[in-house]
Order: sequence, then C-alpha cells, then structure tokens
Amino acid sequence: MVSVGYLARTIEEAGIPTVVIYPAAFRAVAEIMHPPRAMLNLRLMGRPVGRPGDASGQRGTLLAALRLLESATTPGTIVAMPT
Amino acid sequence: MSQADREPASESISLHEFAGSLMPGAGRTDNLFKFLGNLDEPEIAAFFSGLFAISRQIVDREADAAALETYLLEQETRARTLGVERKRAPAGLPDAPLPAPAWATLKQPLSETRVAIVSTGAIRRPVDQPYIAEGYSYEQAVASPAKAYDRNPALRVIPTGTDASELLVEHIAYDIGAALRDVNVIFPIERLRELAASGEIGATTDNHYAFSGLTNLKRLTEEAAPAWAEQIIADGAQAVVLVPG
Repeated sequence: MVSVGYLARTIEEAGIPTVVIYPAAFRAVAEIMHPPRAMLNLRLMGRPVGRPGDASGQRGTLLAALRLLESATTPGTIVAMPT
Repeated sequence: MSQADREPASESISLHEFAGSLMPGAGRTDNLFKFLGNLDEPEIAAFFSGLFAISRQIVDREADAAALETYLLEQETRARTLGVERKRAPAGLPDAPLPAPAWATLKQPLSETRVAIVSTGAIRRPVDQPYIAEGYSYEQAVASPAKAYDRNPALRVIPTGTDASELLVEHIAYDIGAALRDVNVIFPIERLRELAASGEIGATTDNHYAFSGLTNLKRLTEEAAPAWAEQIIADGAQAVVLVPG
C-alpha cells in the first residue's frame, strides 16, 4: 500500500500517466501516499480488482480505473469505483 | 512421556495479543483479519460481537454472504483508518501526506494507448527468482519474514502472453487465498488482454511487472523505483495501472 504509492509517483515523474487500484479500506493510506490517480474498489485487501472468477466484474473495475487516465484533471485524484 | 509433555501448553492470551498475532511474523497466517491488530481490546470485542450477529443471521437465512462481506468491508475500513491515525500500520507510511505528485497525461486516446500492469503482490513465473528464501515454506516465511522473506526490491518481468494459471503468488502480508484461485484479482493480466482485444485500450505492453510491496522502502525509493520507471517506459508503456498487494 505504501510501495505502490511511491512507484506510481516515480513512474509519473518519469513521464507517463498512472492509476492505482486500492481496496476501499485504504482511502486514508491513499490520501497520505498521494499518487497521481487512485481508484478505491469496494473489495477486501488481497482482491482489489474483484472477486476470483468474476471476469466481468474485474474487467469493469480495470476499465473504470483506466478511464481515469482520460478523465482526471487534478494531481492526486481519488475516486470510488461505482458499485 | 505424559500427555502434558506431548501437547503444547495452552496459554491464555489477551484479545489484543491475539489480534497482534495476526500480523506478519507474529505467528498466525490469517492475513484477511490482520486489520484487527490496529484495534484496541474493546474494539476487537465489538468486532467479534458483530461477526457473531451476522453469523447467526446467515445460519437462520436472514442474511446472505453479501451481508458478511459488507460487514467485513466496513470493519476493515474502520480498522485501517484507525491504523493510520494511530500510526500502527501500514509500516513505512509517511507521517504526513506527501506533496502533490507529478502529473503526466495521455498523448493519445485510451483506445490507442499501450498499457502495462505493475503489481506489488509478489507475483512471479515459476522461472523467476522466488520471493521466499530457499528452503522455507510459505507458512515459515509468514511466521519468520526476517530470515525467510526477500526484502530486496527486485522486479519480475512477466510477458503479456504468460498463462495466468502458471503464475505464483508469494506475498506474506495480505490474504492470497483469492489470488491463488484467480491471479487476476491482484494482477489482471487476462482482463487487460481482453480490453486490448475489444479495443478499449490500444494494446497491452509486451511485458508486465511485479514485485513484493513488502520491501526495503529506502532502496525502493532511492534506487529501484527510478530505474524501474525508466525500464517500463523503455519497454513501451504509455500508461501504467498499479495494483497493490
């Protein structure tokens, strides 16, 4: 949760956009790590992209996160995955 | 040998000691519930009271598994937030919010962008360097991370065509149960390939990447991360989605 924030910040510094998919419980951590873009998904730690075997749900989460690359306009954007 | 000699002594422990024992290196491997370690005893007792109430409702078919999931999500959120406020977890978290991050933007539409995945979930192929030291089992690494877990930051490169079912998961500080059944929950390589096939993204990069977030943060931030960022961009990534373990 800490490492991923540092790496997102570093990759963005190197010149390409990033988005982190955090489990929703880690909003407070995400706010401190302050990555360029983060999406909070309402799943427990260890399954941030979705439930095992739920390809459709996982794909929806991943696509929603990737769309932040186009829609976010402010450094440090944190949004919740629509449920 | 008497019965007493054969069986380990049953020691009474406090609720606080029990919750603390859920943390990595503290004896148990119930990572799904290690957030209890952020709570004080009355809060831990309240967690169990709530869990018992939901359990009773499920047994009597008044509630379903979704109610249990909702309860655990609420409890984890509360405990993780308290962990930050109390500076108990996660390890290495800065005391204050980091300054505003750098900002880069897509130079083409998402539908034309090459996307890479980076997971900190300690994913690897069988041929890659293990995260667990040689001679130790996963359970031993959870119980004794100082000697059995490699904290040197090292990036594993995973080609996009890799069969997801071959990937191994060796993180010791989150519950890997779901990832062992379906690695996409922490490393969505198959989902990204599908988004490329359907045209939602331009392409996947040839390579994706993983390491263990449970790593030496000084070496990560000062040496590894800048080098990896250059490597990932040199490999052709135009955007990166990161998934924490």
